[in-house]
Amino acid sequence: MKLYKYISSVLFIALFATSCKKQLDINPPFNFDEENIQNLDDVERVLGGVYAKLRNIDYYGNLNSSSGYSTLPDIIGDNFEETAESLQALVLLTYWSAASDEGNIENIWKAAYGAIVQANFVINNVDKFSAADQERANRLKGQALALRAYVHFDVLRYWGENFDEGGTGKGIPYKEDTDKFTLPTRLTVGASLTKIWTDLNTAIDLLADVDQPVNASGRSKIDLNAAKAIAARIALYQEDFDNAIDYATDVINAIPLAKLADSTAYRNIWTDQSNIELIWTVNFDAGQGSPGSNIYFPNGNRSSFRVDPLLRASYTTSDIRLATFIQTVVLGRNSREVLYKFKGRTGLNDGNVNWKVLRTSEMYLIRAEAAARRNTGTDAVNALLDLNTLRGSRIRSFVPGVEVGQALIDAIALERRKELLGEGHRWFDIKRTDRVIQRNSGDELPANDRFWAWPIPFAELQTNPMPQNDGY
Amino acid sequence: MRKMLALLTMFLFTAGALFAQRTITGKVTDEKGDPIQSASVTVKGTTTGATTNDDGSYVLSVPSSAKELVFTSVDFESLTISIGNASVINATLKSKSDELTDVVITGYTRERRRDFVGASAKVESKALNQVPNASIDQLLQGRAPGIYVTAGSGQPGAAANVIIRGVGSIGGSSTPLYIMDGIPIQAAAFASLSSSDIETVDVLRDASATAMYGSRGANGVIVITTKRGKTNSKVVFGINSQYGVSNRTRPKFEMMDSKQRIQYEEEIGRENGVNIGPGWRFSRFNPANAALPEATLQQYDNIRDSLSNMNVDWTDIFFRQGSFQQHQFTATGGSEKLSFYTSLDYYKQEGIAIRSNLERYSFRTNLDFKSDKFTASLSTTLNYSQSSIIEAENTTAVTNPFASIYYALPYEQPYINGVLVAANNSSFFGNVVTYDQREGSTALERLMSTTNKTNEIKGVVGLNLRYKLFDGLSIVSTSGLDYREVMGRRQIYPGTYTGGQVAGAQGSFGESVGRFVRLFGNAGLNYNKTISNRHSIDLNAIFENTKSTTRNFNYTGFGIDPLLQNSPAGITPGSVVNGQGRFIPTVGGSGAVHALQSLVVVGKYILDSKYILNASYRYDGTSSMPLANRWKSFYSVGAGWNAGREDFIKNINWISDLSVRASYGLTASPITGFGYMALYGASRYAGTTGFGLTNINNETYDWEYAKTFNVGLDFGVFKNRIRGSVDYYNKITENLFIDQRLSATAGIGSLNINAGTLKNNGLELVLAGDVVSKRDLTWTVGGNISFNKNEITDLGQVNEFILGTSIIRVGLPMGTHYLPEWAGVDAATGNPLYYNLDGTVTTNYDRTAQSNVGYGSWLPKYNGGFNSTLNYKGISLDIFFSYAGGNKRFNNEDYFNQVPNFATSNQGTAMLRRWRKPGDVTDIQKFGTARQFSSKDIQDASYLRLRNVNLSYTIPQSLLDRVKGISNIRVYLQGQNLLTWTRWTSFDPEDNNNIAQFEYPAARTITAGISLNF
Repeated sequence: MKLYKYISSVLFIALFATSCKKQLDINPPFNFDEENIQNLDDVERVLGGVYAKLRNIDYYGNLNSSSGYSTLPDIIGDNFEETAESLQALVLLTYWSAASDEGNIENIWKAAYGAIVQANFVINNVDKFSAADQERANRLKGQALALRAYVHFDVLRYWGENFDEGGTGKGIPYKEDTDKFTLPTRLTVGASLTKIWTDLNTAIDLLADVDQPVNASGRSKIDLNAAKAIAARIALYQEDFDNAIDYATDVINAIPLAKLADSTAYRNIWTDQSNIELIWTVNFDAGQGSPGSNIYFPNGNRSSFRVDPLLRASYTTSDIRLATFIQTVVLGRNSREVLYKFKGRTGLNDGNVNWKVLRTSEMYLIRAEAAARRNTGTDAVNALLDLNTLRGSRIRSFVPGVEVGQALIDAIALERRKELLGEGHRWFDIKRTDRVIQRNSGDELPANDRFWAWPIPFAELQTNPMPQNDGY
Repeated sequence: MRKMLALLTMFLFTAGALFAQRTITGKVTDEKGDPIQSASVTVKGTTTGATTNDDGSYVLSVPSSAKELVFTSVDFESLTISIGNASVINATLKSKSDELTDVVITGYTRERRRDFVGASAKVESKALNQVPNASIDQLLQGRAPGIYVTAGSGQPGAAANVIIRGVGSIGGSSTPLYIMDGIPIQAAAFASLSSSDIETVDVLRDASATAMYGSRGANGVIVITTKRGKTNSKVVFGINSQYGVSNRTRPKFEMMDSKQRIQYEEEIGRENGVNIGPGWRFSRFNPANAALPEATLQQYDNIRDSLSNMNVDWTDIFFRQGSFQQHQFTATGGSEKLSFYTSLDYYKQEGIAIRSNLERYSFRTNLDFKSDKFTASLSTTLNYSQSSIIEAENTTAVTNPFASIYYALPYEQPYINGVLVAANNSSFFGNVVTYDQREGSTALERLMSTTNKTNEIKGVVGLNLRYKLFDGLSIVSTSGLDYREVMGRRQIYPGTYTGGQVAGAQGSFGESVGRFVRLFGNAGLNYNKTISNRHSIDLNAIFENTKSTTRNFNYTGFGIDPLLQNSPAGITPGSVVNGQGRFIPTVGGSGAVHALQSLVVVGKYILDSKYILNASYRYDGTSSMPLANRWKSFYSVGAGWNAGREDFIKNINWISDLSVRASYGLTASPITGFGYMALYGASRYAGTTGFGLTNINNETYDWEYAKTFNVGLDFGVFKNRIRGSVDYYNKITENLFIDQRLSATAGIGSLNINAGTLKNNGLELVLAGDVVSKRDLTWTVGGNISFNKNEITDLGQVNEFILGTSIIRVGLPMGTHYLPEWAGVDAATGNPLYYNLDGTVTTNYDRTAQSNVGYGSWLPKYNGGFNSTLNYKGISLDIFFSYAGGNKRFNNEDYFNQVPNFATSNQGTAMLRRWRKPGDVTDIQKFGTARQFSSKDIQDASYLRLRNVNLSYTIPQSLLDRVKGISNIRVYLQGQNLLTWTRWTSFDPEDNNNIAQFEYPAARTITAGISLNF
């Protein structure tokens, strides 16, 4: 009797200790496996993750990172000059000496493909569930395709040799699957653009036939207008002026420019209080980063780059942009002008604002430039009209300009710098036009410099051999 | 009583003389009553003798002249018993308790050391109890061969980095497995456990010991055994109290004082045209001041003069004298079947830096029940501790107080008119003008306007059951729970400068809860039998289950109301105002689960107590592997030969003990997590949930396997006065995780593939000797040294990759520094010089093209410890040293104290000998030239440290007899970290990484204590 008592208690404890049959089939508590994505709801959230990936510190970014597509194109262009306050983390890029092993170049490259692969997951899986709601599937797939095209185009902007339609120069690898081992080859510029347009055109078709508005409120996702705005931008880069004008016109009609009287509304754009003139923003909610901080970090009051003095002088006091973009801030016993555009939301000083990817004013500038450069028929008149419309809505008591010919093109280019200051355009605008940088500080970058087409990162060449750009 | 004994002895003596020759029989047993076989029984002063059988019995014919019998056996202290006229003499021998002859506790088995074929070392309670250090792992430093222990921080309660037999992984874990009373416990979480409850720590190093732990054994196993009561013993109470103080140890570098600093600022202004402070700004040599009237210049001179005489000792502001106290109460005893040990321990340590402390309450009760067939052992401990922590420690950030001590200018006064003025907050105080960078004040302000506290509950419960089914066969089970809950609280007070920097600019209040639970249970059979007195068999077959769960949760709220700033009630609930989030709290969490199922079979066969064969097999399945690799087998084989028991060795007089052993086995490094799955995690976008790819799937994910060969020799010579052991090992770790770089177009940078191989081989020596062994005076010295050679032998698809200032390269050890070689300062120009790889010298610095190896690794080539124990009557002096050699570390502190870019911060006096004019021969380059990372900052971090000195006095028994009730009083004086010999110039040569970045320095602690038993 005693024997059984002991044996049964020991056995009972042994059983307690070693039971649970399926113990090893555990799923991670705070993540889930890819196989768990089972319906359009899930796919929609994966799509949300693609947008979130554009917040990557090397995409639109944050302080102390490359912020590759937000402020970097301004920093390495000629809109800014470095100050003594700078921690000089970006010198190799700022002064164009980076080689293929430069860490930021690799990180910017990686950030882009990280977003692309996740977009591919949406594109390649959404059709499995489309039977449930084809229009909803269109809405999701359309965004994913537009994102894939957009991000690839961003890669092309840095690494492509040029933007020539049908060009044989070196373009980019175009990633269309989610396989970790497939190695996309480097396409020509022309072939890259073809892929981009295929995706973008499909996206425009799909987004025209959706179950509900892409953006119920805000402008955080790519809707039909945003897709067309992307198309207008790309068309301008490849000097397809007809398409640039057509797409820009569509967008301008849908999302008009603010009136000058609404100067407060214009200021509110930058504190995320207003959606006017906004076509697409990548949202940075509280705590999600400060994309403009590499130029001016408001929280630490560090102004690493100041606006180029000549450009600064081109803003007149009657320009409503001046107070919004540039302000004087005290540091110690000194004070200096800083880029105040991305200072933070109302009452905050943390640089935490949405990144404005596409705005109506860019569409005006695209249409004006495309027309001025196509210069057939009434193009010159239309271009000047667009330019004056934009200036007239920014500058009080603006006397309409009368520029023609090259002066008109130059005026449009200047207005582009002034309107899109710090928004990630300048390097590419120089690259697609005359390719010459002459900074006020004396730094010069000639048109034949190798840096106009960034080096394919060394790590990429090791894992996916492809032709390197010339000069590296 | 004494009289009676004397009478009895007299009687026996006379009686003995009556017989000429007679036979004496008896049984020799150990303290537990188990028979001792092969013990020798001799008549004192003769060669007449016999040996005991397997049941411990002996039969001996003694001549009538025989007066005393001497009982000796290896592993036991010899015993002399008067014969008298007894015909049956039973002897109970006490086991020797020194570091080499003992019992090895592996967690699954308990083996006599002479039967153990693996490599293990035991650390005894003396080295662990009442040492003023809260983390048990830190106490192991230098105490056992083959183990390298380094503390990463001097913060009270900080865990150590423990490496057994070299780093065995590149991207995975090198942490050993910890077992306490049979229950696996969390590594590096010892701050709440009382080390005074520990009886022994066994460090298991080779495969024959660790293969029992299979997939978790590759990095070695540390088995902690706590104190237990003895059956049939009266209850003894113990009290142990000690108090002490700690002081900081000083770095060897010096910073400028105000006079030097003001002069330095002026020199830099004059010679380099750079304004780094008021020494130049108010200088008469400053061209900007040329036009000023003499009265103003006079005023400037006065400013310079008063700054020169304002010497603020920043170390005094951030450091203090630490204090220490510990009070322990114990009770232990036992009846025939039941025994117990219970203790209460209070431990309080105030760190040497302000705002750092640890306070701990530990409770333990161990209960044992033992009957003929059934034994049960319950081990329980529950502990509570609270600590206050300094954050940003071990960084070069200004927020790290240990860095800001040195960054702060010597004329920086933190308080101006009684108010602490930090950088950028001078506007709070009417725009006071300061001529310094306020770096020290900013760090101080941060320290004073924030808190970082944790409190922890740690419990370990283990239940050990054994039921003897029939002779030799028992059913066994061990089950238990390891539990740890850490609650953290971080506050930033509103109304302070730091409080103005957070979201909402009104401070923050945040709490976090982290909980770790590991359930553990095993059950199986044990067969233990000796057949025909020759064959001894011990077999275990056990099925085991382990499941660990980790959960963390945290929140931070903003907009703190100053009146309620110490509770979450002070948080302003988030709201949306004008479309903007205001005071929105942040919420976060994480968690992990891991399960392991195993079958463990351990067998041992011993023939004639001389030849030992040992084998173990373990079949492990884990939740962290893909199905294809989920279940794997691990094994070990080992053999031993107790040569000392062979007659031909026994005949060699001076050899008292000799055994050789060898083992080989396969184990793996522990892996948890879900590295093999394609995973999506939550990422918010525009106020809604998004999913982001966080990990890509890896179908070939596998364990990191270690194959260890070990051969060892144990010896004792001259009646075991000199004892020692030698072990050689070769450990090859294969399948190591290497980050296989993927094309970035894969969407994720790299894939953890099993491709690397590395090798650790080494030699471990332990030697101990009784220098003097007299009745009143004993002096024992001992020491150990471990040499380890680490080499990466394969990295899969690549031959090397660079990690910061280190390189992982085939043919080199882990932790190898990789930087351009410093070639001195050009005497003509003052420019820094570097070697190109071809040996030419250049002023150009190119880390990619010039980086080289040859400056060593931060891991030591050898390390160990040695000790001396001197006992004279009641006085005992223990001295213990630990050391490590051949380790090189990067001194980033020197770099920061000399880099011209940060010349507005204070700099080392080394800058005073900088190059200033052509012809200056110096090691400090011209001001204004870029100070680069080079071999210049790699320094030898070898050290010898007087780690512990303990002087104690035990009150003689004769005095105590008069005090009723007290059976033992001991008073002691103890010093920790008293002296360090090193060439390292920074805080502390001992650290757990390759780079010194203003860590919390180790403290020198002196305590005085008393312990009594009654």
